[in-house]
Amino acid sequence: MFGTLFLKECRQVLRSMVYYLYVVIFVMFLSSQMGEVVTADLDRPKPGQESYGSTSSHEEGAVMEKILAGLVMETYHNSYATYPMGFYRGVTLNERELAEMASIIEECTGKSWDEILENMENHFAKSDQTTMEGALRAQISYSVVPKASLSYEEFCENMEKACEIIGAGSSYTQKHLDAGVGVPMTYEQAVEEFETLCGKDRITGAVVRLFCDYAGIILSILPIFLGVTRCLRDKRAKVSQAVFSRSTSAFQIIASRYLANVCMAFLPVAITIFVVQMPYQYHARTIGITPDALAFLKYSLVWLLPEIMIVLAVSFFITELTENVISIFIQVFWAIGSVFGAAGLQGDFGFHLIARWNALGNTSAFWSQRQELFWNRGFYFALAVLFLGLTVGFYEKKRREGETVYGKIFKRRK
Amino acid sequence: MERYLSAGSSFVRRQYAPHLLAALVLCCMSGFFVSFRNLDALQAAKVMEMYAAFLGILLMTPLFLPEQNREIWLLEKSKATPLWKLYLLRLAIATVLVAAEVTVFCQMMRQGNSQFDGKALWIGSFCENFFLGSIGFFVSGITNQAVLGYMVSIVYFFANIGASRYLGKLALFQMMKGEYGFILPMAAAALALAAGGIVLREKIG
Repeated sequence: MFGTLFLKECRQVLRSMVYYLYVVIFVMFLSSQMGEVVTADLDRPKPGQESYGSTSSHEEGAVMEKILAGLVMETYHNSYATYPMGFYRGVTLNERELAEMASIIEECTGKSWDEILENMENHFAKSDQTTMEGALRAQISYSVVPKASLSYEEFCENMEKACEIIGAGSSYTQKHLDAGVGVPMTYEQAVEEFETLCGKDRITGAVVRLFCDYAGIILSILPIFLGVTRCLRDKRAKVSQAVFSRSTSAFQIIASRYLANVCMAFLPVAITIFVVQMPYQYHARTIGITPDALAFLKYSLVWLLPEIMIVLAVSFFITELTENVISIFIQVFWAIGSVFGAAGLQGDFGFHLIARWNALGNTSAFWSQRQELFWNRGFYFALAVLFLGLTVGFYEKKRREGETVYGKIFKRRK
Repeated sequence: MERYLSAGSSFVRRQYAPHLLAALVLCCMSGFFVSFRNLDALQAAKVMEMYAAFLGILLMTPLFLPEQNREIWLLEKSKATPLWKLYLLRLAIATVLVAAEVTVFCQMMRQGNSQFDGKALWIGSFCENFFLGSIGFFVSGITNQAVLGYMVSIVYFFANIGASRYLGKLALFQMMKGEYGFILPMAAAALALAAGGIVLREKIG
């Protein structure tokens, strides 16, 4: 029975215009982000290169330099990134607060604000700001040296003062200072990183991770529409009562619908990821590395499938509960919050819906945070099962009592 | 007049109320997502274009919701009042609400000591809100599916984050760059989409 229902639901999905839009938008988004084959970043580093990218450092001196650099730039633009509720919120200060902030920087550096600004402008004037790579390189290499007599404790106290001025969730909290900073990589570090990339990722792992990063963004939104469409279809076709009266259990009906939508949503993802990583398999062989041929499946199952599952489960639940399209807005805001709520573009998986790793490589750092990713995805997998259970329960209640939160309650009133 | 008032209030009570509630929640929660304090013209534009623009989609896309039910559509078609007048009435309600929402956001920024050209920002924001909403309105009208309307307008919003250069004068987020030349073409496109939505829906229906 379950199998028959499942196949029927798959056919229903295939008949839906929303599904074809889902596929087209997904493929277009991915090809716009990963259309070009980038193999230059996957070659062995050569001595004397202009830049080798960046790596993370927890060394106190480096932390002070980079954090001060960030504070100087934010003060210069008078725009401070904060995450008070886990969502991005830009803060702009008034003149009095700006002056206080400048004095904190002056105290930390022992230089006047004008002198610091002049140094910053000189630094950025030296680098090519017309290209994305040039601008990024300039940002990575920019640092502000603290005065020699400043201890790390004094620095932390000053950053606390900065946090009080900016408000909750700024980038200068103790948590951010403890998380370390990005510093330019040396040639030796770059070679070591490349060897880890070849040994652990076998090239394709790194590519697929980047794919998962981009795909995760769009998959936090697109499956919502599939879920909402499916849940509203019975109501639109006026067959809700006919389905309610069947002997099939609520679990079989909802679970078969849910599973069919999860499989159909995952199918184009798996196919696209397989196609995208093919040129990189070839590239790996040309440089003498045996590629991980199943990396695309392993990463997509662990990274993307739980995300599709939770997005669909929540949309099923809210739509069954409200019999309305309101789930779209709630979930789009959840997705946006997750995109802007991450402290960076790599790692900091926490409990964010979208797991980010916007880098081709950086393998050692990824492997050190892999456990956190597993916890994150495991949590969403469990949450998806919980929401599915709640949907089944609510559907059964509707079936027995003909009741919904919005709509029919009012119809029962005399 | 009484007939239109009754039709309008019935739509708001029976179909539009959850959307109005969601819009209200979005407005009330805006303080958690965006700052209204000490903004300059470009930062104020960012608030309007990145956050407030969603309200246009939320308020204008569900205007054909009642007629997704074929029985309601047939019943309405049998009445003396033509359907296009009903659609126009709902569009007018949504337009007034969008205008009110833009005014509230501009006012909140003013009270937060922000400095910007109020008239230009109001017109530009209203135009973008109305344009995004009219995409949803048009698509839901011709496909008879509000979900598709939401999907296309939300995807259009996100497409502008990375691909605005391909969209010419119809690209969003222009005010954040200090550009206001988009207003006329975008207003014209929005009106065309809104009118097209009503006309085509009647023809397809």
